[in-house]
Amino acid sequence: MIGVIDIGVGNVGSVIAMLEYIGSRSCLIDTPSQLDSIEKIILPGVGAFDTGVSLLKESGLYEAIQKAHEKNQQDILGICLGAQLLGHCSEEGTKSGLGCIDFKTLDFRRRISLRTPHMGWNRVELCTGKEYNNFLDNLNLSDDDRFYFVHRYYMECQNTGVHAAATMYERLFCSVVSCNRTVGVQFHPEKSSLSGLKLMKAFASHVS
Amino acid sequence: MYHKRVCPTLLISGDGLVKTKRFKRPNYIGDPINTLKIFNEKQVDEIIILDIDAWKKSHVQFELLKEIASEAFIPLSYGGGLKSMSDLDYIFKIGFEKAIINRAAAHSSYLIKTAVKKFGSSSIIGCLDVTRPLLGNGYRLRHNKMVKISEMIRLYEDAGVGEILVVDSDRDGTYAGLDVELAEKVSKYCKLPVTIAGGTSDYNDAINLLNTTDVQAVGVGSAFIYRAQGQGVLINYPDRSLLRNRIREYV
Repeated sequence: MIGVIDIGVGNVGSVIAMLEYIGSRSCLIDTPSQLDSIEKIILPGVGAFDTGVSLLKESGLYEAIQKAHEKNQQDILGICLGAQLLGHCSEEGTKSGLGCIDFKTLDFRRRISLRTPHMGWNRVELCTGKEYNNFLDNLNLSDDDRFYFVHRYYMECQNTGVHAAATMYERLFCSVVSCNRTVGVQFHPEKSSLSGLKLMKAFASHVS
Repeated sequence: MYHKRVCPTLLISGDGLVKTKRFKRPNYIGDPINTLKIFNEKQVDEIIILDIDAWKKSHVQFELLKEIASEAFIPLSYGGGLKSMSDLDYIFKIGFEKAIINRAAAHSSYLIKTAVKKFGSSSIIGCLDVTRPLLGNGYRLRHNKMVKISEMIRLYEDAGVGEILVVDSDRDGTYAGLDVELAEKVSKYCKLPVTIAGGTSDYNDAINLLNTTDVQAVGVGSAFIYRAQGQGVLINYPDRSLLRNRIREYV
């Protein structure tokens, strides 16, 4: 069973629709106790960083997700804002992120001249030669795979151990972060057509 | 490598998909859910959905939009009658990436500022519904003739939207070709990504505009709905590899 966190920021509808399409059982999660009975967690997110943090705290899921990451017995996938929330902080806001993965989120506008938000389809280059111990080990991306991005803030890893994939938008930025069984993806797999389906299938079917 | 986008633009009226000419005389095309299915299978870049009656009727067709969204594993934007935070809450919850605000912004940017704070700038699109005066040159807003387009762009930028959508109402449904001058004017004046829709004659017209201006995306209506001008309905979209090869890299 895959639990999709629903705290009011995130297009959970699309995530659930894609999971149904690939034949995975899923449910919506809005309280910590519901996390106990599921194998995998998806933290979607469309919205502002501080709002995401506040809503996670109000629901009690902030600490619950941190605990789940520490226990390392459930696969966790953060999507877009959900991925950024897994880090320490963001230039978009002032609140602290979950801190599960060692990275911070920065503002494109201060660093590149191309128009932002980064809005459209782009390639994701997975770092090879690494063992992730999560579904990324089973994810085979080809030259044709493209994912849909829509974001103004991007993940930056000083810690190369958590950097799992890069994407080019005037400069290379981190599009996937990974730490043990927790992965964050900047793009929207639930809106990335066949490439997104490939990723969701890999996540849903991975056995640790 | 980042790709500029070619986006089918669908108009809804009642529970049907329609095509208009200059947003008048809607012609029934078919079932929007089925059309979404077809575009989803063709793996289009993104779909823009506009409900042309929603503002007048003060009613957003959430149930229909929910069904439409459930067919799409591709990005969706919606515009039409969005006036409140609860409207926007629901639009994102059911599976739309971006909400297009047009007339709700006419008198106050409060809704946009509040929406950006909660949903993030990447989720909110400011719409410029553009027309040309009968006499004289230039462009103006169709529903807000007292406000200059440049002022509206500034209002949207200051309010924090993530994208500007230019809807060329005069060219809607005409196959007259995209207005390159309009596209250049808006994209030069504005720092945000710009999408333009209205008048695309065929996919070459869309590709040409993307390659010669700083516009990031084109919305295409009639050319992807009809076999050709004056002919029957044929939902179509160019091959993805054609678009990838012909649209220049954005660097």
